[in-house]
Amino acid sequence: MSETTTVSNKSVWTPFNLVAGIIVAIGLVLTVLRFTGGLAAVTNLSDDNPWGIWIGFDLLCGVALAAGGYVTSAAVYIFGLKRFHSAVRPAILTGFLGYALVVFALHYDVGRPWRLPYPFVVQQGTTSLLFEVGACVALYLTVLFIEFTPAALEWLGLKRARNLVVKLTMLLTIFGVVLSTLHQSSLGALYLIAPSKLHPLWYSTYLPVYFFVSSIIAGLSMVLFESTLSHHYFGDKLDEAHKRESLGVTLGFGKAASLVLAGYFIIKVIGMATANTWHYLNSGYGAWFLVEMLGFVALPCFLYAVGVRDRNVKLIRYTAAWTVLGIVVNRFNVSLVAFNWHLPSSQRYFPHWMEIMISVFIVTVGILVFRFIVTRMPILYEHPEYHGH
Amino acid sequence: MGIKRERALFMESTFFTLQDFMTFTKGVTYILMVVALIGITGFWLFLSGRDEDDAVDPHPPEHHG
Repeated sequence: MSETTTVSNKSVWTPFNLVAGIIVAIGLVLTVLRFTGGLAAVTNLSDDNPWGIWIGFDLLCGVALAAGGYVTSAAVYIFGLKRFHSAVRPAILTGFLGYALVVFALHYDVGRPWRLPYPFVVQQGTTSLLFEVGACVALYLTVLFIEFTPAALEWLGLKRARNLVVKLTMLLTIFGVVLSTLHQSSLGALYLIAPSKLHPLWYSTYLPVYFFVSSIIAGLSMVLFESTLSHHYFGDKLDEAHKRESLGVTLGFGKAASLVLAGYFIIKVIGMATANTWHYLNSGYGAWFLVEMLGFVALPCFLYAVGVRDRNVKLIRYTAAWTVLGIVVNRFNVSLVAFNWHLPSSQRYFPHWMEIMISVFIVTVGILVFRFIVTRMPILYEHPEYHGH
Repeated sequence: MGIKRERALFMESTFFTLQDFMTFTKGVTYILMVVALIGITGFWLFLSGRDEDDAVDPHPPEHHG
């Protein structure tokens, strides 16, 4: 008993917990400031720049990087790739937490957050893309929650409820794929309304397609990245099946990511050809566009391929982290860097440090909740009572 | 020098009719699509080139003698 107490006391005061604790404490203070002083108290947002990093990072990156849920469950349950089954629960959990944090972050970003459910009740019409995004995110968050519940129900020992939810797996997976296809592309379509504001190298009538295809890349890479971290930090939680399937998951997802990246590169070039924006490459924005296209699309595409050919797990995992960064770069470029590109720098938006800190706080909350769940519920291992079910 | 370069770049992308624009961009797109289709086939061969080496051969060669 005393030993247990000593161990738990030791584990509480780790450097990670201390840093996380400080971030959460600062985040809570900033939260009070945000909800008592309004957006102006903690942000550099204005009527000219109403969308900042809470949209560019928390929402656009959050939704894209949470795509692992629908990508993995579609691969396993719809395409029948059962050898990736061990990746489903971690991917669903990452997806669920990702979307939950998106909605959490929206409460900070939306001027009157208590009106978030309004689109379902009070609205001017259903033709708005934002309505579609709002509806899909709300529905998909519900779907992800239900998909996640078997792990929680197994942990709570509620066998009958768990078996009932498991029977809904295929239905939920189909819902998930449909809803994700809709809103991942709609997030890109939001920018179709601003052809004069978004730099021509990033603006394209194919933006919805770009966002959807890149979300598949983000989902695959995020599963690999999350799996790397889980192996490192929660290695003791992994059961034999997860360890055995790990190599196959890494090689399979790496191969898929490489192929989708190649396709994404092609459709981006085709987009440039149809809009005839080649001459913009010969500018500062063009150089940055090339960094994105060559450094964060073509390079990981090649590295994934080399990793798969050589069965180099380490290379694939590093490439996954690089690709996740690339997705963040892409979403930042569309929503911030290349947005309002013609304005002088004095009129451009740059986030306030408190905006950045709140985003860091939200990510930290996500990591803490992920750790809480993974260390308690059967996410990285099969519950012994439900083995093979 | 800078203005000349800009003008040259501008002139490169000046089209007087939509027909001109579509003819040019569609032409480039078709050429790129042919390159892309050949390229993606080659890339697929590169990506899956060693798959067969790893797979278990269902019909191993018979040993005689």
